[in-house]
Amino acid sequence: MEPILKVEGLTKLFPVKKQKLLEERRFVHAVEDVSFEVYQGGTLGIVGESGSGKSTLARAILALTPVTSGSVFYQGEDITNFRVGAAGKRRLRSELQMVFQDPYASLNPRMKIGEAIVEPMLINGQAKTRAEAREKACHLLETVGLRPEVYDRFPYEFSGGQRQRIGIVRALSVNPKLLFCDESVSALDVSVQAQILNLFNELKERFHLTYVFIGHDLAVIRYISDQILVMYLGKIMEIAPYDQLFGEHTHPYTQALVSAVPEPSTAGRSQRILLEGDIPSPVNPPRGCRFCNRCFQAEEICRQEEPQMIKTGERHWIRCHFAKPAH
Amino acid sequence: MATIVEFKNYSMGFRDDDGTVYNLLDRISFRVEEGKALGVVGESGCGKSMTSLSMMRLLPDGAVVQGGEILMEGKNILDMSGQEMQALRGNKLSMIFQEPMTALNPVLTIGQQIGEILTLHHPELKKQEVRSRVLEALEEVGIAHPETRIDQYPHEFSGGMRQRVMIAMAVINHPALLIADEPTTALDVTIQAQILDVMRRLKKASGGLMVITHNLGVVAEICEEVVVMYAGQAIERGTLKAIFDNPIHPYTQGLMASVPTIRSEKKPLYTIPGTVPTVYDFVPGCRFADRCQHCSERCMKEVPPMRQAGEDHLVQCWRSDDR
Repeated sequence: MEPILKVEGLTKLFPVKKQKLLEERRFVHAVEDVSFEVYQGGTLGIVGESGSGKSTLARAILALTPVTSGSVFYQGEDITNFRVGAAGKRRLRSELQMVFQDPYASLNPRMKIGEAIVEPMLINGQAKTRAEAREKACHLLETVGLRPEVYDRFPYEFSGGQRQRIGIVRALSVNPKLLFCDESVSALDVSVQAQILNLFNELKERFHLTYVFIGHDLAVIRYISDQILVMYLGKIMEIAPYDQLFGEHTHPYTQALVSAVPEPSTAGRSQRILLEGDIPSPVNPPRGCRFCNRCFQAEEICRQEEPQMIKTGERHWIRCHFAKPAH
Repeated sequence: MATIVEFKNYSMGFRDDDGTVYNLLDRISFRVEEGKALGVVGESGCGKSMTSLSMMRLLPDGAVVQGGEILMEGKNILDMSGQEMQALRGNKLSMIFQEPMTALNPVLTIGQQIGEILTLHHPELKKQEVRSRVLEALEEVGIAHPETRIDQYPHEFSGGMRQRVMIAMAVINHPALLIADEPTTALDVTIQAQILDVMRRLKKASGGLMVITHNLGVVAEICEEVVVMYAGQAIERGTLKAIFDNPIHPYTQGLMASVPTIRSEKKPLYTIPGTVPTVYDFVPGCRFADRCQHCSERCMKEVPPMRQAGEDHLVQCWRSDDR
């Protein structure tokens, strides 16, 4: 079966403004050499901290920012930078959608939320008339638990959780097949987060969606995903099924991440792994493994040579010199 | 065990433009003890920030104190003069704010900012002494190369480092009470783990710690005692073990059940139906009533009394001993 989305060697570098004329050009290595596949109906979780490149990765795939190198394939077709002609581009913008992180910043404060929802429908052709669009919008609002009367209200009249639902409706209004959710529940209270996560699961079933869920909360990402990508400083450190992210046979960074998650329980904790220092700047990534400066298992080879992705199991890859290859 | 601070039936509200006062905090009572950390847990609108601001007497305009007392080492904070409060803040009573990225003055070195807290309350100290104490404080919070960092500016520090600076500022005068308002929310998870570690170490050295957060995991990491707040009411309180192992109030139960953990099963998360009411919609009784599956007539009309549900466990709920 062919993956619905395939990313190959995606790299995105941002040039850093030169301070002096004859200085060597430096780059922010936001995303480097990222490759993965997503299958229809699945949910890929991408987890990482600041500077990991996860948001830039999503934007590059959706051609919201041009890639530096690498390719993106959607349903087998090369859609890198959405260079597919006007009609093709419109189709892609409908089929690949995004729900943004900040429910307070992603809605135009001067537009009624109903207008914000119908606008993409009218542009992309999912509705021919305003009346038709409005009917569809109201129907979708009900699907996410909002009353159709809210169509004529402005964003400031809604809470964070409600705005997030509106953002979801806006993304769904154009009949997407692939939905990117960038930190879509991070700004929400715990109980509202639970409601939205359940909603995401219901909508996936109902609308036959495929998700790419980006976040930093490992518990949330694990809950919603089948497969998880762990990113650090622009590179993928590990790809694993959600239930194989724990234990010693994972990347040291993954172990540190898992260990760092504060658990709401009184059960005794095993020794916590505390990483030294800060996340380094993606402007000058360390030579060798990106994680070598903070890794508790680092050895000389790690500082000299960058590890490749090693397959350690069915659908499980680890970028580490000490990963045990599957036999 | 000495009590550092005690809230006794404290109430406050907000005055609307037309003069009507809407109550928010409804007779909340709890205490923080020496050497212990109390977690104040709740979601948006529960009043936890107002609680800490009340403690510091830094309430916003329009806020009205409606009753009760806040006792600090036996004296009522609400009766203190502006001057007395100034002497307390940064000295015996200290706060770490939520957003380390923006809480520091960008045009002063961190050495100057931390030093200022020291000289404000100890004007007799000489420059050299101030500097060496600041260096000590930086080391205590785990900032490497303090001799270099002391003369740097906030923009030269990462989020996690800035939070350590905030903590250094807050503890340099060995406060009797340290309030931390969502101290790790804006930080990456591995940095959060480092900060929690710093706080755990400092807790042993200082008086009492009050951690305000919506993150149950953070509470479990550093608090011994917990008070759960909902819509301005303190609905359950007790030891960490009592609350986490045996939550009684339906809101507390709902909150615990709705958080996915690393080991959660993949079934729909429990969700509390409805949404948090605003100050304009509060009912006279228990404010959680309309979202509660056990709601009765009485719940809507009368606020239940705090009753003892176990050793070190109090809950404000009409549901009696049948659970």
